Amino acid sequence: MTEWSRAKPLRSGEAWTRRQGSETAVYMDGVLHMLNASALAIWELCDGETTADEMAEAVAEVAGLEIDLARADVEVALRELHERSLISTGEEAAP
Amino acid sequence: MTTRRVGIAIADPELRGVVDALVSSAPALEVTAVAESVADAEFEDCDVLVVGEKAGLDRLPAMLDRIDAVVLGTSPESMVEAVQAGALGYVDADAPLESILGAIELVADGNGTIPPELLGTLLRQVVKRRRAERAELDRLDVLSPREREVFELAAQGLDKETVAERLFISTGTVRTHKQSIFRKLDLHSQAELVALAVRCGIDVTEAADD
Repeated sequence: MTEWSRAKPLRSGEAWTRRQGSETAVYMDGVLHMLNASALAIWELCDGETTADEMAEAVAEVAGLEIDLARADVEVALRELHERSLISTGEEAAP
Repeated sequence: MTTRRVGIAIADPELRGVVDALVSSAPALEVTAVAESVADAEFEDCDVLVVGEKAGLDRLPAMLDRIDAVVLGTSPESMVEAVQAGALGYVDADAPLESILGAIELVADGNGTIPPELLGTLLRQVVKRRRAERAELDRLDVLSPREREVFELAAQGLDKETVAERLFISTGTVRTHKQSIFRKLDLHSQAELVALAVRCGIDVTEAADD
């Protein structure tokens, strides 16, 4: 189990966004970030209600991945978004 | 180079003609069937089916064990419907022609494709659907483990005798379990039982005997 297992990540605030080719520019707190489609999709799911596990199940279903691989991919995305201060870990889901 | 056989089922005659011409221009693709709807032509010999959103998406799941499909749609809702029906690809019907052809070629090679900007929408819909399924599944917690087994077999349409045989119990016991299931879940018909199983995400297609 990792720090993200029961987290309900939340976007850090309102952001300006614009599609830029295959990526999306996200401007928040004076910093411009470029997110690819997968990172953007995970960021959009960070509504403070959706758990990392729910995100992983959805990714596994849509992409046809094994759940463990989807979980690992989602956690990598969440960690990077957190490091860029685009999300907080939010509340924890009940065990 | 292997030529992939493409079927086209699109209700709009102009779009159907454009897609026909587009696919016919691709060296590795060959149009083998064209119709307004999935129901109107024989698509069994096709490798890939290009389907318009109004051409019978509800028939796709029954075909997708032997054919890949790419759906041309005009809204995020139709994209979600397409993917949940099992389509390998989705492309906006108003996208540039090279994007439409690119999507068809990708699916013809066995690759999935959806517009990247719609991935978040799709994932949100899947999360929502799975939450609804879990809420329905929680209703089944009132059943005993055996009742749960009977419920799932009954949802597949199996008769009492077959359920009894599968579970090594008597038909009388099956009848008793079913009565309990109907009472506990406030069900009034076999149709309601099946509908609940579907909402729970339970596979209601009849499983083959082991």
